[in-house]
Amino acid sequence: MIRDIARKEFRQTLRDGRMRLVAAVFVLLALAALLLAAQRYNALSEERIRAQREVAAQWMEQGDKNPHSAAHYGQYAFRAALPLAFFDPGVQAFEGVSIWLEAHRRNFATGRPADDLPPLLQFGELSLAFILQVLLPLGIVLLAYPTLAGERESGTLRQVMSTGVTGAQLLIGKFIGLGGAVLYLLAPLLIVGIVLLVIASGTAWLAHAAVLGAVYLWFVALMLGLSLWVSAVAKTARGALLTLLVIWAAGNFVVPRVAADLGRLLSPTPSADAVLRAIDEGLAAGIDGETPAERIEKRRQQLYQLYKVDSDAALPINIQGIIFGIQDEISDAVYDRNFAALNEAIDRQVDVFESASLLSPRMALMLVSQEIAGTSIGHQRQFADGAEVFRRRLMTTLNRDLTLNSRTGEAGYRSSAALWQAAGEYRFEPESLSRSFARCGAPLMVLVIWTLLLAALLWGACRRLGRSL
Amino acid sequence: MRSWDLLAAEFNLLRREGVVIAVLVGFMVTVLAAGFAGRAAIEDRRITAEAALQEYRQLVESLANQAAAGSDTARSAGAVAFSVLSVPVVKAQTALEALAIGQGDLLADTYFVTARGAYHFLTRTDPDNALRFTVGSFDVAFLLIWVLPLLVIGVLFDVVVGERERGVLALAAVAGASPARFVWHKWCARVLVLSVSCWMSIVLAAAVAETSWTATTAWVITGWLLVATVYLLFWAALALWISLRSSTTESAAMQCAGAWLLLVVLTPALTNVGASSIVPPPSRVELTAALREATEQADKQIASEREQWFFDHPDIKGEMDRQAYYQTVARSEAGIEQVVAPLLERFADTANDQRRIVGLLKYLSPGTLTFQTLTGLSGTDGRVHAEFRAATTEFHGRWKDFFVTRIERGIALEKEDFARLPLFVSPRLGGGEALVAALMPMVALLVLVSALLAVCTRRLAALAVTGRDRHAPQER
Repeated sequence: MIRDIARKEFRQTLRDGRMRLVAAVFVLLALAALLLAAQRYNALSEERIRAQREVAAQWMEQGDKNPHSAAHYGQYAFRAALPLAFFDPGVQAFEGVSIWLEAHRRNFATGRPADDLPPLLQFGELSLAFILQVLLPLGIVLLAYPTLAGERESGTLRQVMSTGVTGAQLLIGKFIGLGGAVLYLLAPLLIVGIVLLVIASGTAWLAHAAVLGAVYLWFVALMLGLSLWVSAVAKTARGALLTLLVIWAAGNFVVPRVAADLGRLLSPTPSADAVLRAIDEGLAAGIDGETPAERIEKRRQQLYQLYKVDSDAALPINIQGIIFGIQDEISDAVYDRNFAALNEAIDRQVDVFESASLLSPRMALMLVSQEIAGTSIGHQRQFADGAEVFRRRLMTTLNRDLTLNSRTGEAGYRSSAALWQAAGEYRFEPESLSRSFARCGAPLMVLVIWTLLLAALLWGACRRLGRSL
Repeated sequence: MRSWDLLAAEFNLLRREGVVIAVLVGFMVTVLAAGFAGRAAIEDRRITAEAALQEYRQLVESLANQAAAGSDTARSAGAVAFSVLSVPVVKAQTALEALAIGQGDLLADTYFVTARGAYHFLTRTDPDNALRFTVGSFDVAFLLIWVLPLLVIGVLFDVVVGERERGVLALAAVAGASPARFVWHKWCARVLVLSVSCWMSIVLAAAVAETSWTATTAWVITGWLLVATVYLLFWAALALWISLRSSTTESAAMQCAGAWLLLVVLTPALTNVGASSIVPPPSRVELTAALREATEQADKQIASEREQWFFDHPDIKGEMDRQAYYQTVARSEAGIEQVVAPLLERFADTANDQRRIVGLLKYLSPGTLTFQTLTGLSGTDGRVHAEFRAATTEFHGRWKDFFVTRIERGIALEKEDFARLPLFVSPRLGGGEALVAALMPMVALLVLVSALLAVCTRRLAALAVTGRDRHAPQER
């Protein structure tokens, strides 16, 4: 019986001319978004790879100079464009793409693409993820709202139920039939998407794509379940449609914005100026209860004892390299503390957003999608932290060279290409799928809660349908 | 039946419809909440800017006193210009800015200007919650542009088709009212209720969001009320037109939802894609590479001099020759600026071109048109930011000249010099000017509304009280 209902629903949906038109427009729009994004990804990816190579070449070919001058010259870290960004650009437009890795300070990422985009960003970016998260649910609503409410109004529901069909059979049959129709319409998108992904990056990102596909299917099932439930309990098809449109508009446009702004009100992001001021104060105060001057003096005395000398000039090493090292030790600790406070403020805002996703599964899907596509806040932080680890290693190498290979006061000391080679160049390492997935715990839990809730509601609707006879 | 009786009957009907009243009250409360949220955001920015300015004033006063006392650092134009002093340059707040955040939270409203190259402050990116930018701001403009049409559709989509389905049109005809007259009065009553709710919402939101009321604020709020009314009328006319040509309420609802999706979601997003494709922005990555190359070239020229100070540690050498050190810094900065300034100009030019393109394409969608007009009225559409950026660049030139002239000539700073530091005056948006800029889009939207209402009048003249009127299309 379930199979018959599903087959009838599937065929009826595909035969509906209006639905075919809506589906054709949807698929064309999605394909256009996909192809545009893939083209943009190619250009971005090439540009960033080229820039990273240029920076590495500039570093290697900077010529002979004092290691500390080289430390100020530094390197640049560019965030690589990841292949799934063409599916879900996530927060990338609003995060800087490059970080200057220089002596003494940890810089913020700069070059936010959104700064150079037209002034209508408030209306959203037309990506495939946006289309699947926002427009597909609307299509499902339009497809499913009259399924039961319409039949109830026209009296056919009573006829169907009188043939001995149970409420559960009817709902499951309609769920499978409609779900099959949606998948049938999505198939071309899936195929084109996978082909583009394989062209862009081989098979390296297929596992990510599979996880994304599974989560989006889960979301489609949730939206279908929600639409069927509303259709089952609404007295009229009009009531079902209006209710579903309100839920859709609120879940996609109102709740996310309210949650994001509420997060900002509850946990304001400190201004960059305030962060930099706090850093300056921290640098002046020093760490472990010692001012920088005290710490340097203490280390100087230790070195005098170790080498049994009584002046900098008598040391067999360049104390300036040690001093730079101490300054870095202090600045690293101060920057860590202040960057952690900044990240905590942003994390609290994201927590509010995650909590609000209990009201809108699209928000939970959005977070999971960005994590798996490599375009989330977490990925940006992983890029920035990775660049910082490299910066510190680079500075340690340069300071060590200055310390060991020159004498205090030897301003004309030069290092050469061998040192630049030994210091290495920055390389972006994308995060593993398991690490990205580990950050999806809360939003996935929200999707589980929605699944359980809808299962319970649909179970109740089945029983009501059975009793309605 | 007299007109007033028809209107009064509709008002009574609406009063009894608890859902409509609840939704309207809910909308007003939400707009009020958005007003509070906007105020909080603007207040945050104001407090931050005030704190930065206060700190700057204290620092200048302290430096002046130190210079009078003969401090080497305070008297060194180079040390003050390149190592100690940065002046916060703050964009003047515009009227009702809190109601339409627009690009206000993305574009800088404070630059920290030093005597170093303009690229230092123009390329700075302040860290923030990127997720919040991605989902957009919860402000009054958002509620008016996105949510108000849904409200209008919800109240008006069945104004004809629903009444026909329920047989009310036939009853009205029996009672002696022409169906067209009955529908017009029904439509007018509902539009009036919606308009009053919308006006009250805007006025209340403005009352909580605005901190300083001036003549400009009055002009801008007038503009807001006019724009919101015309936008509401557009959706009301569209809903009436769809309701007239639909055979069922479901069909009318679907068409209205489709129109909303097309005009409020898809067209603006496609306009964005169009504008960035027609005028693609220059590459930030290339800018970074160019900046690096310029830095390297500039540094190479002075490398032999700078090496003695470990590049930027004039303190290490014992006896500090500040003048010589900062002269090299000034030369290095000038060299970099020469290369980078034209590149930065390209970014500003592109932003202007994109704004021009969006200014033309905005007529494709009433949503975009209204958004651009409201953000234009509130000074958050990017135009005021562009003027602020240009004014900052001009100020930076004066600031740099003030110090670099003294650095090159080896003139020490005196206490009086700190009182002569260049001052920044932020450009301001006049209320009348903003309203005039909003006139053209409003007229365009009014023309569209008039055309829709003219079509509706024609259709209403042929309205059948049962079944379909003769203009209605055959629907499957």
